[in-house]
Amino acid sequence: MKGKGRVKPVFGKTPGFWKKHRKLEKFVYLLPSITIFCVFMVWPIVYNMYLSTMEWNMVSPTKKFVGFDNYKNVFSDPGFLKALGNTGLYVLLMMVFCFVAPYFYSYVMGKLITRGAKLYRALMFFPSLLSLAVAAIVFMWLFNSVSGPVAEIYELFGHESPHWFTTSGYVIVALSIATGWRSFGYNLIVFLGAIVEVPIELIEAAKLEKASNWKIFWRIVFPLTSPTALYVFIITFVMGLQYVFTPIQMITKGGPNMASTNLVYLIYQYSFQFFQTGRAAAVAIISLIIFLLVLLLQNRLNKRVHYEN
Amino acid sequence: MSTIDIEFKNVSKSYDGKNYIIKGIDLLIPSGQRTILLGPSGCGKTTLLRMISGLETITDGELYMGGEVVNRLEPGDRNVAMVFQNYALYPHMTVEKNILFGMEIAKIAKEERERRLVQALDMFGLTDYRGRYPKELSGGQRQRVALCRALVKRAPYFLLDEPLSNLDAQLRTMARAELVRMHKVYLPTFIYVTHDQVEAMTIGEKIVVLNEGKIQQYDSPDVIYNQPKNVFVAKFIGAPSMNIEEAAVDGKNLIVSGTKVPIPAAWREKIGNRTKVKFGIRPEHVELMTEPAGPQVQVHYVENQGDKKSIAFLLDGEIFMATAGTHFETQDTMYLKMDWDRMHLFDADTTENVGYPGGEEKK
Repeated sequence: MKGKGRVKPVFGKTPGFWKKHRKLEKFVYLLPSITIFCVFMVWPIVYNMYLSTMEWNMVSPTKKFVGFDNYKNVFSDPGFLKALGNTGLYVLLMMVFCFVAPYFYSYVMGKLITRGAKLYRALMFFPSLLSLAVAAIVFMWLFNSVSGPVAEIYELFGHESPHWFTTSGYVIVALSIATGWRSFGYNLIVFLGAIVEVPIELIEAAKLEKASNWKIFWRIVFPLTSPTALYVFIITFVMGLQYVFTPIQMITKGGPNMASTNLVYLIYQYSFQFFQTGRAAAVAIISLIIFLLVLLLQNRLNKRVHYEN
Repeated sequence: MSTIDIEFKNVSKSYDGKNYIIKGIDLLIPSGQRTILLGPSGCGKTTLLRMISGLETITDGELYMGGEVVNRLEPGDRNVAMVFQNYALYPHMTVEKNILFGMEIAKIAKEERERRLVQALDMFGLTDYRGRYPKELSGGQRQRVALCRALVKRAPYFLLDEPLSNLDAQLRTMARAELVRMHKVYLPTFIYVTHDQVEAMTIGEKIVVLNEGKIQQYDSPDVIYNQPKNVFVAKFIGAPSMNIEEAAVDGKNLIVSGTKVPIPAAWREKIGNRTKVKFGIRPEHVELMTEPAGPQVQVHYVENQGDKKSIAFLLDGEIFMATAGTHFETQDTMYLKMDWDRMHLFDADTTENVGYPGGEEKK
């Protein structure tokens, strides 16, 4: 655009126009991204906020403004409170299956065992190639309380298998195991990548000081892999909020008696099954706020994480 | 603490059961001495050190420390302090935390920890850096932190794996002196791995020269230098390295590149009925003269070391080195004069020594 005017500007009459409006020029370049961002991010949120103050059944041409009534109704709905509590439980269990477990497992694989690490790695990663829907079906069969392998093991010890998907409490564990099984491997690989980066000499030096494997983990491996740990922590949190949707939808539909529902499934039910769009929007906004709180937590933790260089 | 000797008894190491990288080592490292494990890369010196620390397993043979077989003892139970080649400082801990780490794990009383920390920092001039992180230190400072960390353990065995190889030449000289000083204060059994013969000569009280998993010679620096046991040791120690040349034995005389040299009477028995030997002489005992004194040679290239020059020339098609104080030009024609009293003779096949300078008096 500079020089002898060889490059003709796409917009505007003369190069002089753009020289005078540098800021506008930058804006034009950013426009595609801004458009996409607004259409797919900002607008849905804004529209969702708007909907959360309306009473609407998705098909009626008119919407009725109800202010904060949807929120009030949501908070007084025992179903919502149940879903909120369940979501907490899912997050907690996912933290165990997809954060704590792969973290320790990767430490063992990366630093403590010498043989077969590659084989384990491949086997552990395998479930990540499957879709969650497939995982749901596999576990539906595994946990079948009459003829499933788990039931047979119970039988071996003379016990009757619990009805995994129809008993309150058990159902959350079973669905978390299915989701966790599917996502464990991916997190394991991410952790392993961080752990093999910890120089072996650091661990050897600590071994010479008679530090136990437990101490080596907490005092050396954990601080040096904390950036990765924070990342996996956050994505596991998000998994706990969202990923269980698929097995809930496929296996239990939130039952029995809402014992396995969570916030995301509740939003789906409110909007597409009960056509209470306003309520669904209100729950969505509440979920969004929870997400934002997690992001805030990440920001706080980020300052305490040890980054190399 | 009674004896803190280290003894290898027929120790071998193999990773695949076929190729041995340590081949039947027998070695007694006496307590309180600075012993150097010296050799080219891949000779097994670091493996030996890691066997002592317990970080490497032993395939065959026994390792004794303080009179006990320690083959199966965990690294943490061997009471060794180690300085790693890249220092292995914990990057997320300050200098102070790095040094305190081991003492905290050993549950040493807080006052004692602090006392040792302050003393070590002071000894290495690091007092002002105790709050810094390793990445905020220079290479020399990091190296000294690593020494501090090993030192505060007060372990009877002090292992160092090429600790100076990442330092520049000037710092290295200083660090060598520091290490010797430190050893004199604490007097642990001090084992030092290096491929640098200058470090070995300056730091060591005893040197173990290793090659291809075997001990080539184990003696004091002076003996290693003056009486190398075989051609490998002769060539490995000394820079530029010793000249080695095929020579024929003709009765009482040796014929080196056409020159007849009488063989000292004391050597004749050892030489026996050999007709061929390897003749060795250090470059500092080779002189190049302008007037005819011996075989005529042509200067091939000159390495200037400032105070002296290493002159390379061809003798019977082999590169031969001499050191001289004066300058020579490439292609200069000179006459060779060797100090025959300083020659070494080795067996032509086994390369074992059959005579070294001054050998007549000593044996």
